[in-house]
Amino acid sequence: MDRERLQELLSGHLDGELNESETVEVETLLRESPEARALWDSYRSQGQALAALPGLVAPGELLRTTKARLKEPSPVHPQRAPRSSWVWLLGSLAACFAFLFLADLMEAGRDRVFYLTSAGIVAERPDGVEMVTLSSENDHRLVLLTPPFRAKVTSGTARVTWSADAGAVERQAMRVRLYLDLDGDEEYDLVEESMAVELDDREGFETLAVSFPLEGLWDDHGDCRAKVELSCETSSDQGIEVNLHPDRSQVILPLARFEEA
Amino acid sequence: MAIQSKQLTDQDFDKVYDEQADYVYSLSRRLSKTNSDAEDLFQEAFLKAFRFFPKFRGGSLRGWLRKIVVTTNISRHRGKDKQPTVPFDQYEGWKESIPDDSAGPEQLAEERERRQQLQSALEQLGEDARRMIVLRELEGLDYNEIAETLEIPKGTVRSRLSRAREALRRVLEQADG
Repeated sequence: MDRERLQELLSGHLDGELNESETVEVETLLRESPEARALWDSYRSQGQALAALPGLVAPGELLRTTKARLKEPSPVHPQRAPRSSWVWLLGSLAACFAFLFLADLMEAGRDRVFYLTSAGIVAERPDGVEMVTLSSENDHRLVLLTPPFRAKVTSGTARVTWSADAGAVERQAMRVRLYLDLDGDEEYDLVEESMAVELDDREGFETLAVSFPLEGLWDDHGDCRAKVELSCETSSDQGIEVNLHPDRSQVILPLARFEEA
Repeated sequence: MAIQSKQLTDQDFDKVYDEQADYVYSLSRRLSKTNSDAEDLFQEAFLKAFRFFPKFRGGSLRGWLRKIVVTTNISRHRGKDKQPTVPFDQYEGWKESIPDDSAGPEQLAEERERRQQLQSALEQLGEDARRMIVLRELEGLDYNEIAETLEIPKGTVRSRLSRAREALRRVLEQADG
């Protein structure tokens, strides 16, 4: 048995996460293999030591400065001047009518297609096809950003598609991370990561796709930005080639009220 | 602290802050390589929690805060270069919440050294491995809960956790000489 499988079995056994046949296998190993027993003891004792670490106390200065920052007026919670109740009522009624009239038109999200290019993610369909290689030179990853845009991210499914060729090397995989900044503060409010998608070992490009369900946690219509990171796990010196063909290299987001910033 | 689904106010959040600050700091520190990173993470996570608090739908408050801390930690470290580590014992502001008065001075010193060794080993792990170890061994989450928190498949939890345990074992082995 290779060492990596042994480690995974022992680790899973420690957590009670193995199936019946794996449990039988690991119990046999623990009876018969001194290496397995030594590893088991190490994992168990380091786990017990970690679990016994006490909680920490937040430094007083940090507590004070953070609390002060929480009290600062924020653009997320704008301060409003008090209004009399009838003005508020009329305003609310007008807003309701406007909402009912426009809701179907404005709020229903629709899938908006962006295209992956080597220079970034663009809203306009590009003309040409590009090829990039994910290798040790770029840390086996391609990171692409959209320009800022204004939209409301609605409930739905975000999808990323691309095509890739790992050559004739076996057991190569790729993974996608999708980042969304939903308020223009240049920090990502949502990070989604796909499972590793295995590539076949035949020469030639295959088209791949992953999807991420979005639950529409954010109500704001605001400044947004998306980032897509394609990364690969490869043992090949040549890396993995990615074909940025406009029909096969897209990120599709469920957006309402999209405007280019 | 149980919070029911209702109109949540800034006063409710003050209470959450007062009651959960140590927990959030502890989690932030264990997830971070340096004290300064931990403080930034703590602050950013609470600012985010404050912002999203009106949308909190009830349920496990700690689970909700944990998810905010972890996702903030993930987004902070995307593409970030490795930073030099401040040795754990050089931070004066750090202290543990449960001093053990029953132990003698030698035992206390040994205990403290053991904890520092563990913290230092955690700091030497990669971000992903540290996150897996913290969520499983310190937070006690099961695979489903880790998968949900990190938004990754359960099968990935199993393989990543195994690699993380092995990485930690090696670091501790090296430290023991």
